Amino acid sequence: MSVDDRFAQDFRDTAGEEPLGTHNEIITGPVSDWATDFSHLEPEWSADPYPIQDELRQRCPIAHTERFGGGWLPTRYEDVAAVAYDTERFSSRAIIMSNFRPPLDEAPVGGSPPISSDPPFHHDARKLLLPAFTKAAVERQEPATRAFCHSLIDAFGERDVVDAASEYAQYIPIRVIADMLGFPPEDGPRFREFVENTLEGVNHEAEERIERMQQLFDYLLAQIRDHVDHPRDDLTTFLINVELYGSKLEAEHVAGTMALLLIAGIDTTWSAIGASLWHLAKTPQDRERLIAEPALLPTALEEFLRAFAPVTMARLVKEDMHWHGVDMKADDWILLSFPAANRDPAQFNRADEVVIDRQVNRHAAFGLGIHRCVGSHLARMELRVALEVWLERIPEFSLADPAAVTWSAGQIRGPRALPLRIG
Amino acid sequence: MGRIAGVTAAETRERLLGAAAEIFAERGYDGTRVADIAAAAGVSNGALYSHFASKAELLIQALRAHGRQMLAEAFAADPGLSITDLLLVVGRWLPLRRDAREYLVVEALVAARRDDDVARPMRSYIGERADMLADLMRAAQSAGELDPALSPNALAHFCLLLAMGSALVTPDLHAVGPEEWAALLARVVTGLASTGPHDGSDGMKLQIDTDRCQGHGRCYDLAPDLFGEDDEGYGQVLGDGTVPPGKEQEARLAAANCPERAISVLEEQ
Repeated sequence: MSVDDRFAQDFRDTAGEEPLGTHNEIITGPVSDWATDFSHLEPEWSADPYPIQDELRQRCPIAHTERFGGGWLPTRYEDVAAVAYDTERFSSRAIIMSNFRPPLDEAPVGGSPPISSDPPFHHDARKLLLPAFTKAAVERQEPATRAFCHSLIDAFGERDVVDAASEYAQYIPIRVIADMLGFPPEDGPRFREFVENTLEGVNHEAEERIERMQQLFDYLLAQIRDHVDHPRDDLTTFLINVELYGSKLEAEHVAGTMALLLIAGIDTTWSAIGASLWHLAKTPQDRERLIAEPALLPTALEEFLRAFAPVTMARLVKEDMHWHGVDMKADDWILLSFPAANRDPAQFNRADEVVIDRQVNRHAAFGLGIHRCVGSHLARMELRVALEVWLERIPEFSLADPAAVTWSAGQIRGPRALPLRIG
Repeated sequence: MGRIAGVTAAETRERLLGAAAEIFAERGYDGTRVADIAAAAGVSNGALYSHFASKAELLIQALRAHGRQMLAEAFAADPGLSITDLLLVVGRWLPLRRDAREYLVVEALVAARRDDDVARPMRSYIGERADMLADLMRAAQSAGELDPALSPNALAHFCLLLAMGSALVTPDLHAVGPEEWAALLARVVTGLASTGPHDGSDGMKLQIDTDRCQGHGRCYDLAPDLFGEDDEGYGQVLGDGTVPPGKEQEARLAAANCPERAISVLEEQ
């Protein structure tokens, strides 16, 4: 097997000088007024963003901040949907709101296609991935996922307090995505570092962010090279070989998409599983009802996704404009909060309650429009299996210490410490 | 002291709202003193004011907490109902006598006429109820149950008038037989349906707008007999989209849950 030239050399060396784009001053510290100074990285937001969003929805409803070089936070479903659908005026070339804006010429591909891509390239890059993530395709992962969930619970042994976030929820998506990409399962702990660096380390200094991103891409490049030498039936080999517009993908595209699948597949599902277990631990009537009526789980699961939607995305405004009552400038961020949209009382009856038998539930947890989460079927399967196995094995559980529950900071929100008492 | 020993702030609030609902419904807004509510809840006036800024706020919050949510009740009783059936169930309840507390809304409406402090929060309360109803109407329209040409706001207003009117015209003032009333409601709903009279058993057809569909898969999750996924995960109707008898409810549920509103349910003449 000859070496694939695309990966023989580190593609970053040929990319030339420092990445262009703009860095802004990093502003941290307590928020003075959520309507004019919001920050999703402050502890109040991670602890409980919903009252803040609810208040902003009444007051603004589009909040502003000077942090991150300037950005906007729509809180109504209607406005969130309008941004998600309007790829003409809002670019996806950066989807993590940070202190660095990639240059305009990164569009329409972006650093991690297709999530970072704009039309028309987006459609073609996404099309490559879709067949691997259909409901039928991800069903093939179900038996292994179920067995893995059981093995995690077996490992609890006789203990009566376990951490459902760090000892259960976390490992499930890590294992599933490692299997799909064909990465060694023992590398799991490193994935967690990559995820935290990308999603939670947003306010670190630029040099540190770049250094940490290098570690991720070093790892991916090593995996790619190993797959070039030893092709397998997995997504990495698929991405190395697949063609777009008549030729194989650029090295950056292969690595960028792998980074996307790795990062986006882990934190999100981990959060959804954790938040669902958190709710059930503190709501015995819902837990008992699901034990009594297991057929209700798929409906309840959609409600958990609505009420605790883990994912917030970001966009960049393309040009100065007056939009829904506010004056946006080119390169302003939009923090696209699907969680806020999902709790808009104009869209959902009893929006602030968890109604596990909600029949009509048009939530936006997986986004709206062309960027619908490509892994949504996989995430739903993992969430369903994780909850089925947990409820079957551990029907009785409660919060061991409500004050010890911690939540991740940034755009993906879910429990990171969740001590539960069994029995 | 604001707090009763061993009782959380949330419990105190709950107690206050329960007492307020009881007393306002019995004595009316003007006839109720805030001190009576505090006493009935077993807390001091000061504790009451640490939870509620004014008597008006207490009234509206009591209404939110204890006013009867008939749609939610009907839905909980039978979540499988279509939206129009849900409205019919609630409609049938309207002329029946109710618990005294359920006339709280009457007291609130009367007080809102006299007192601006009540009028303002009452407007937002009624506005929320109307918005919720309008959303329900929109969902019924996209599920093909109601004529999409009708204004959801007008439909919501109509339901609101019936509900509020039923609280004012109690059975001892004027009564209506349950059968005659149900027959009238059924006729009204038929008149509001998309394509004239339908018995819901034939001629229903499904369509997916492929420009809107993004492959969320809610349709084939919820109605696997009616929808499938293509090789890329986009939804497709099975066969020619004709809904077999008995599957109408599944079809409507799938349409009502599509996040992209890509599914139309067509009722044929």
